[in-house]
Amino acid sequence: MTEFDAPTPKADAEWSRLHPITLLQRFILSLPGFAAVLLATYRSPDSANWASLIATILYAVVALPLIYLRYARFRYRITEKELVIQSGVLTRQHRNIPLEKIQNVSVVQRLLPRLTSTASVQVVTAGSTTAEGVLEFVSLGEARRIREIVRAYKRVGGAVSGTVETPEPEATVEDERQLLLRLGIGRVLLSGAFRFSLLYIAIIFSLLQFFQPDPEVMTQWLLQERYDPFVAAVRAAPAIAAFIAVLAAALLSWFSGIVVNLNKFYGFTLWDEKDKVAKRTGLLTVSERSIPKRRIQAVIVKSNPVMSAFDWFSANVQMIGHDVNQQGHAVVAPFVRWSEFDEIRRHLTSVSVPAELRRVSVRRAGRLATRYTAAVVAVTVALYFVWDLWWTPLCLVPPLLLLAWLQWRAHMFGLSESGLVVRRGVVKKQMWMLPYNKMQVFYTMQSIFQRRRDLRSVHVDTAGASAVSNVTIHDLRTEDAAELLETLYSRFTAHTK
Amino acid sequence: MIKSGIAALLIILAAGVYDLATALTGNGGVLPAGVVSFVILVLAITMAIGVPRLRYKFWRYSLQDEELFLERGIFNRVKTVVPLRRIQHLDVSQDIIEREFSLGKLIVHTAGTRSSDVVLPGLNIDEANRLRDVVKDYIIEDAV
Repeated sequence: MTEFDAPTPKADAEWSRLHPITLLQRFILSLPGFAAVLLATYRSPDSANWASLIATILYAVVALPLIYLRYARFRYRITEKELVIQSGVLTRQHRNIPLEKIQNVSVVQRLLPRLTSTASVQVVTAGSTTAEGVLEFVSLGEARRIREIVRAYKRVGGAVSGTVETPEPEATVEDERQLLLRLGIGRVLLSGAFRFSLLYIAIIFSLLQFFQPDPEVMTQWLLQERYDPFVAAVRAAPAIAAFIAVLAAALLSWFSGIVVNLNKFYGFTLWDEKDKVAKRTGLLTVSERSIPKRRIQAVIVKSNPVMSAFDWFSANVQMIGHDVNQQGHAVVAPFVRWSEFDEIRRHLTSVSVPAELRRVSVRRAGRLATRYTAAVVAVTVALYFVWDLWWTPLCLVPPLLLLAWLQWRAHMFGLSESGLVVRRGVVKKQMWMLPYNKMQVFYTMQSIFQRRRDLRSVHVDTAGASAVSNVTIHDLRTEDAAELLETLYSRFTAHTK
Repeated sequence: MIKSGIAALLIILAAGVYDLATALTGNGGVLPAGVVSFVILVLAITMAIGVPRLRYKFWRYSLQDEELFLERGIFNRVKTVVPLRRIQHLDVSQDIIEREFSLGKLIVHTAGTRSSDVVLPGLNIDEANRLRDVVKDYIIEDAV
């Protein structure tokens, strides 16, 4: 039997403070806010200098001491059973987080902390979806120590200190890790290239809006001599100019997508650690996160037509007690081949994709087609009163009909040994793998339109599911829906006994 | 039922105010005074009487050995199966109107997203309490 080699909590568990560098970091982080206040007074010409003077005084008298006070009044300690955090300047807060309730400890390093080798420790419990306890910032060593204590507690199921009777003596974490996936930089760049999002471009433009570049200066700059032929060409053919503008925007957003993606998934690594999987990712912000396997509610594979044409997929897990910013979803494989995914999937869930998936009733296509056409007609009618070319939306009808048909074709479901598999989406392809033993509540729904066509939808609710895209099998024939519900429920009962 | 009635009253009131306003300002528009009020009054009375009745007619529940079945909806018919072992906690709630008629609703919380609270309204308060006590025993420690 080897010695149990986890860091034990300090015997009398005295209070610790955050790393002193926190002061400096909070100060630097407060500067942009201060600058924004100054900028506001600076930009409005009729307000005199006293406004910014007051802002500066307020900043010096209130904000700076507050940074210190917050630091001084923040204490934490980790005992054998719980993590205790005391915080607050005016309102004192005393928070006890029992170690057994801790689902997840993540160590996050943003750019600034990385320069000073500190990290923020975020403790997530099952009761909430946001981090319950945040220690910002502690030294990297301390962060690892806290995580190890929690992990060690989890491993031996309670008793940590003193003579520990470990059921199976285990080696250190590093040894029991099994590498599942490591993405090289080429793969990350490629994955960015496949992801097309207008989101970032919108952010860039809203930032531009904020700085409000002087239009006159801009035009002057644009109208410099060498651009003259170009400007003339634009004047001559506005359609081409518009096309070029759209193309430029698309290129720009494509490029920014690649950069953002690189920042997010640089050095993405995924390990299997027996009862959990751990991942590390990021360029500027390195985050480490471990996902307990029994907390995984579903596995979701996402793709789009271009990606899937080249056999690329991204895999996510839906879990509880996870960061709410990620909608309860954590990426476990940003960009993998199907075969690679299948390998990783084995470590996450027992649900495999059955060889045969069933389609829903073909009336699904008809219903979607009706819905789209109705929407287009509504828009057209509205436009009739305001625009000469009111009939243009009608051109959308044929492609929308095609889309309805494709969506029906893409919507499939199947039952495997241990779970339900549902596929949906044409542009945004998604596939859920939902184990029977994680199902929560079962629904069948029938709207007034479905009733006429003898259709029903089946919906299975799970913990941590997103409210927008969840596991619903739309438009089954009524008797099929009833049968499916029955099968699902009986298998659920069998798997949760 | 009574609640729908109150909602309807509010709508009638709003329509009445509208009518009054048009009458006072004298630029009454196309419709003669009182028509809007009247139409809405008739509609609202029908709604107030009809809708809750229909809603009541389609509301069913049954407590089985291991699950709670619910069926409801006038236009959108929804059937729900809540496995009792998935229930996280239970509430019985009574608002002021319900208290007057000794009614209550049973609220069943699960870990699901959409069904984080499944409501069983308009129960006799004793029945609600009884259901709660029966279901309570099925709550197990780790339902996720």
